Amino acid sequence: MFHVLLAIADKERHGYEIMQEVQERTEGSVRLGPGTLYGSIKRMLADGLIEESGDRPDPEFDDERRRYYRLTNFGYRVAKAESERLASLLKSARSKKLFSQPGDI
Amino acid sequence: MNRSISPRVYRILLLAYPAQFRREYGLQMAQLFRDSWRYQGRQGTKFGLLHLWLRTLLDLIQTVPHEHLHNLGKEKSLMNNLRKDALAVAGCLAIIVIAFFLLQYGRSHNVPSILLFGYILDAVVTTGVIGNLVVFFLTKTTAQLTSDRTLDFPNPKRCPSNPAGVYRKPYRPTVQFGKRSGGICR
Repeated sequence: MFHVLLAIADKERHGYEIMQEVQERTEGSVRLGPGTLYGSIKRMLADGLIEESGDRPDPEFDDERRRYYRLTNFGYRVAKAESERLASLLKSARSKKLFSQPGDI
Repeated sequence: MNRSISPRVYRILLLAYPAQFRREYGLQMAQLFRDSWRYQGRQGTKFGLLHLWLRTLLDLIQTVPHEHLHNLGKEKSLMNNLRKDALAVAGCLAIIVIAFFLLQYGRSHNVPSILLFGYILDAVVTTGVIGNLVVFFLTKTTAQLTSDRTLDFPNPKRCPSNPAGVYRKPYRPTVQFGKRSGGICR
């Protein structure tokens, strides 16, 4: 779910773009299938984390109408809170030398 | 697998999802699969399409039961109906047991009236069970034949109240007490 929130944090995207963005960002380790993606989207819509921003054609993809999604204000706050939580965990891991910084030997 | 068949096969597989979920997201899921399939086709890798299908099938296997269970949990009316059905089944079983003992008693003590009453109870339960099964299968068959097998593709017709919107062709209305649902205008 957090992957999807991250994917649409900077701009609204449709399903395939979300899937691609997640795959690229995780270097292929996370691949969202259609059922997983739209199951998550359904639940996030129900929870008010994301909203549909309308159907419109995407020239990159045969101009077929696609449904775009974006974060709601609440979704943005949730994504931000989760990011801060993860950053805090990362900071703790670094302080215990469990996570090496780039450039470390 | 023939390249032109893959997206069609996937659209058929989407029938495994609950009808409501399919109506809402079926088109987009089909689009996503088609885009992924085209991308793999452009890559030209040997096992790209096979890998896509394997991932998609795994995704299907994992998410279909999840969506059905999720639907089941949400449907309070369905749970109420299940409770009523359980009560009905328990009632039928009770009548069968009573009929059995009445028949046993009627035969052993040679009481024609009790024997007759036992036979009547038996006939009523049997007719009820068979009748319910027939109705159940007829309903299911009718629902399968007339239900919206194809995905809800946006109709080119404009939504009357929203000229910029998209009208979805109406699915078969579900009749609930006091409610009817029809097409959706966006």
